[in-house]
Amino acid sequence: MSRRKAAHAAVTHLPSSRGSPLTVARTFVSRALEALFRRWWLYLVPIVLFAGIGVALVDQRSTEYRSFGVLRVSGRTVLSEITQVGANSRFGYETPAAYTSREINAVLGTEAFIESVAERAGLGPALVTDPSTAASLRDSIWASASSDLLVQVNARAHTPDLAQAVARATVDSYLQWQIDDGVSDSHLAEEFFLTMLEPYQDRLDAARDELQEYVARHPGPGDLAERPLDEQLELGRLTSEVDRADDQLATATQALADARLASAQTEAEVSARIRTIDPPYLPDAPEARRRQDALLLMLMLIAGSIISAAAVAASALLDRTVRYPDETETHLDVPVLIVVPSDPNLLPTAAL
Amino acid sequence: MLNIPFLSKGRQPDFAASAEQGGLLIVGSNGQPLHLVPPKVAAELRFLVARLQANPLDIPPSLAVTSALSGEGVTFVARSLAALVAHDLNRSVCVIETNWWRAATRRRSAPVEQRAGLAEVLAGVIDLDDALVTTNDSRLSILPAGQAPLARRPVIVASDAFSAVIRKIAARFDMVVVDCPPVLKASEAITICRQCESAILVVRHGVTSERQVRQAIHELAGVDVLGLLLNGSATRVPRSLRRFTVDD
Repeated sequence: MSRRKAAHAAVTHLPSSRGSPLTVARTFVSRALEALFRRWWLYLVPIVLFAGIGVALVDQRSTEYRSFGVLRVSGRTVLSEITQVGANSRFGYETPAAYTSREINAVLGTEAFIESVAERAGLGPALVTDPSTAASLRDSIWASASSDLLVQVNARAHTPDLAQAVARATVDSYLQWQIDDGVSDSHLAEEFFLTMLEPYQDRLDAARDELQEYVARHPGPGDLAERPLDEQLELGRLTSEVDRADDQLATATQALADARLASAQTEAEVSARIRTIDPPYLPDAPEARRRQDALLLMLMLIAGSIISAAAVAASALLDRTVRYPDETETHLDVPVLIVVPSDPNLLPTAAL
Repeated sequence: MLNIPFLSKGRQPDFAASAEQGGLLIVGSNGQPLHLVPPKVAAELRFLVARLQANPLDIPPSLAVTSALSGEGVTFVARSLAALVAHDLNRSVCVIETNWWRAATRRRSAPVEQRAGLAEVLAGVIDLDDALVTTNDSRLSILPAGQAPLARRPVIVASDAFSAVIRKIAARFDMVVVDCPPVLKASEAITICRQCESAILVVRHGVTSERQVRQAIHELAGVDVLGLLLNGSATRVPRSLRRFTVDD
């Protein structure tokens, strides 16, 4: 440093806090505020953009209709107490409504259930032609517990008719799914015994035919004891054969009846356990979701503000122009003699 | 109010009010306004003058005013500083303009007749006395840059004739302020600055980057750079928020 510069520095420089964390922070804030107010319209763009997207989303959502039905779910029914069908509690520590709503939301994830709902709601063809139908259908249906025993099954759609149809289809599909689940064993038994009845009947018919044919071939006294010993033995064998076939058929018939009764009991038990209190109604107005809409708008505004703030911070960080004396002296190790203010009335310097 | 031909009607400042508030107006001998030092600028430059005076070695007799880039306000600062020293300290001051680059750009933007100056004096076309422009302040003179071809400029400033003219002017005036071209744009700026006792680097607030200033200081190695002069400082931050900034 030259003598003049050193002497000048000794006169002009007071001890300062330059380079301290506080000064660095204030300098960053200064640059950020300067960047913000210099091009405020630029940093307003993300906020306006996101707010616009939010308004568009809200506008799009406001044309949706929601329909819901209410189911009452019981833990135990009189029928289940009597018949022992469904007598074992399936809900565990959950309330029946919580368990059922969770189950409905879970089965909505299955293709079979969604297909059933789509078929019942008249969306079967759309499901075939548009693969995204299943996903959008899944997104538009949900169940929630409104009390310990009441379950609300909701459906949202762009038309009131469709919302009602989907909600109704969901309720019906779930009830049918419950019945099918309960009677599946009974149906298997029914099918088994139905397949066995015909051969058993044939066997009985054959035994009877053989007995009648033998009697016709060996006419004799009506009293069995008066017949020869060999005929007595043969008639006894044929009669036993008929009795055995008859018993077999009677047993299968009884088993079939029992299986059918079990199915009927299960259906009745499901109907008693899950009752539709309010069938899905036809919504008369688009769904009003002011709170959700306000939340969405707020989130979009916050997102836009975050992007704007990030842009301002980036601008402040990237701006390496000389602005503040303390910072300049720290970075360049050269004194800043004075800061000449800008004057809007400044004359352009005349060329000579 | 004076009629200034190179200003539009709406921008003509109130010279009388400026003078009352401490501003200075430099008018050529032909009555043409050459320069206005606004009150705010004059106040800040007076601080600089006072600090330079407080220096045991006093105000340097020859001071180069330069910058890293063009358009940073070197000519404005050089003339303002010279006018203030002449006016406030009652010293004779000469502004030597060597900023041929600037003169060329000014001619492109505002067709003002280019006066003969330093280049013509060095070429022997005119005498120094004829080239000096006198002003309404008898203590302040300006030596215009004149016209020098681009290729000749480094040759001119490196010549003995140039040094001789500088010495001759320095002998006649209490202070010489040399209006230099930008260091990073014209190589002759370094040569000119080395012929002066000290130099000031004018930096445009919010325009020139630290890297460019650092580079300019590096180029001026060996020159006694007193420091930076931050020119055109302005903030858009509202007054209520300035307590959070370093502007406060």
